[in-house]
Amino acid sequence: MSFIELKNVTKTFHAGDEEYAALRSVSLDIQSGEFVAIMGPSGSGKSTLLSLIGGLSKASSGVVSIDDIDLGSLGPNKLSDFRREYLGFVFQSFYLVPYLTALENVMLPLAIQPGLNGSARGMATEALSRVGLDAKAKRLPSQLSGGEQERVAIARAIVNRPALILADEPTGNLDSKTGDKVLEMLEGLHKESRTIVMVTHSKENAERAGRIIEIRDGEVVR
Amino acid sequence: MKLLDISLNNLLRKKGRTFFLVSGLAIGVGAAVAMTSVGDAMNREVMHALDEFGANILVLPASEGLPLSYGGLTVSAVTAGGRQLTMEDVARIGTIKNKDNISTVAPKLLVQTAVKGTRVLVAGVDFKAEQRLKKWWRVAAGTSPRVAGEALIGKDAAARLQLSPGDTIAFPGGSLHVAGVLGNTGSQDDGLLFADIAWVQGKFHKGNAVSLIELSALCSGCPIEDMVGQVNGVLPGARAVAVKETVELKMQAMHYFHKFSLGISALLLIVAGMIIFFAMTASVKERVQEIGLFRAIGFRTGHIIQVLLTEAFIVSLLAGAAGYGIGIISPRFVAPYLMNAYNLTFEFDPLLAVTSLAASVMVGLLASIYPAVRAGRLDPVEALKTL
Repeated sequence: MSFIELKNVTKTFHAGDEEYAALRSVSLDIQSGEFVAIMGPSGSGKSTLLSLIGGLSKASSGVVSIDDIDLGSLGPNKLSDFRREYLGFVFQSFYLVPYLTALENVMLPLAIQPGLNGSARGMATEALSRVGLDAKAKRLPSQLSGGEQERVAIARAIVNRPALILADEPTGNLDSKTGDKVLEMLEGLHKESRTIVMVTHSKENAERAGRIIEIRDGEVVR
Repeated sequence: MKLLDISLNNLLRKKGRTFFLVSGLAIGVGAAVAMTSVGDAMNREVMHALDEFGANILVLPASEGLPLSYGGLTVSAVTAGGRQLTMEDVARIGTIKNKDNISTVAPKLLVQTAVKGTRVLVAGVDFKAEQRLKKWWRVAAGTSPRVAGEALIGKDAAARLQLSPGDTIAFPGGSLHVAGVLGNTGSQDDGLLFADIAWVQGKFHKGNAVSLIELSALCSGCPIEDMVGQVNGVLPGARAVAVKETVELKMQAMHYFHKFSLGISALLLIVAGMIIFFAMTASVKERVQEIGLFRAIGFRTGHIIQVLLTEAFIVSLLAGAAGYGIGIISPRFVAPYLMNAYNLTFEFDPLLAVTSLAASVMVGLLASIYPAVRAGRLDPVEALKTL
């Protein structure tokens, strides 16, 4: 049984009277512990695919299941719980909350995690330490460089020890040297048997993953 | 970190926005509190002034005959049957439980006589008490009587009897010196001839008799009916009645003031609520990506609403406290200039304090519910845009 399974998934959007298919009958399997890169040009549907795997949107038809959970069958609250328990997101634009320190940003997913009993701070400090930012824990995002912000975003993605990490163009806003460090971190997480799905349009970055899924005009071509 | 910490951090680290929100609501609450406290202070002032303006309790002999008609001058009823009122009764009124609420006691002795062949009614009065009671009295010519034996004449009586200040009026029992003529009052006083009550009692051989007693009671301090009962209790042979029209006029004035200040306060709170609503809506718009992130990392709709409503609660609680402070302090400085009301007094009202806090929190939360629910329902993909 695959960890991530998509069967004939179609996702359409409506723009006025017109219907536009971002994904057409996509089927794919990703095994637990795989590091997969989804490649494709802008508008090919790779980010839409990531949002479906991440339970942020629902397929218009077909089945998306993670760890044998059919995401289409989950209500809004269950879907939120699923994201909290299974996923860690790393975004191109980092999306750090500007009024929270680096440590507080990392603690965010734990703020709604029941049963932590005061261990949240320790977990967040450990995650920050893993990305080498424990010394800057009390800084606000505006006091960090782009690379440091991305590392905080990675720490936030791993703080609740998710089984699946979804990265959307994680090096898109970084210089090549900093981007390389971020990819090294993702590789490190992969070595810990985490499943990683990374969206990128860079062939060089995609080749760092164990497998490349190429998508074009809403269809998987490789 | 808890959801409360997210709300607190947002408020603390966006000090300018928090200050604007708190100030907006605080000004609204403060203005509402100021309106209420000024309204209450004005109410007390106006009620006090109204209480001192005219009589609101009339004490008559417990007559078995026709009721006394002071305006229609049915004087015969004063002495027809029952016990005659005396000056001792006037003193006894000062012993009732609510004696401190009595502003003026004005006894009167009404006697019919003839002047220059015309029948007139002489009203023996205590001039000081009478002038305190009838603040509308104006001496149009001459002066107020200063000694017993001097008279003040109603305008119509002066015209009919062709009397003016300095004239002498001869009676069978003596004579009165006309000290002054009253200006038009539009009441029965225009046709009367006023003299000192002790002089009238002596010259007309009435002993210490009194026809009626008018009382001005500070009825805002206690129910007027209670005072009427107390007067009837100390004067068994008399009949005290409340002058309903006067009491009702005062109650109506009080009611109007109360309604006016409540209406303005409600309006101000609505405006403050609208400020909060627009500010919260703008804040949600500004924080769309942040809310999208919260949703992406597993926040439920309820968590988002909780974060935003907690912020609204804290803001409105602070605004309520600040608004109460503004509302009770500002009238002390502003009221004297705006209303020329130098003797308004403002008292600490714990009920008003609690009400202003509760109203502020209620307005803040109500105004934030819609933006918060909308934020909670944001589509994370739309909110984050990049996915």
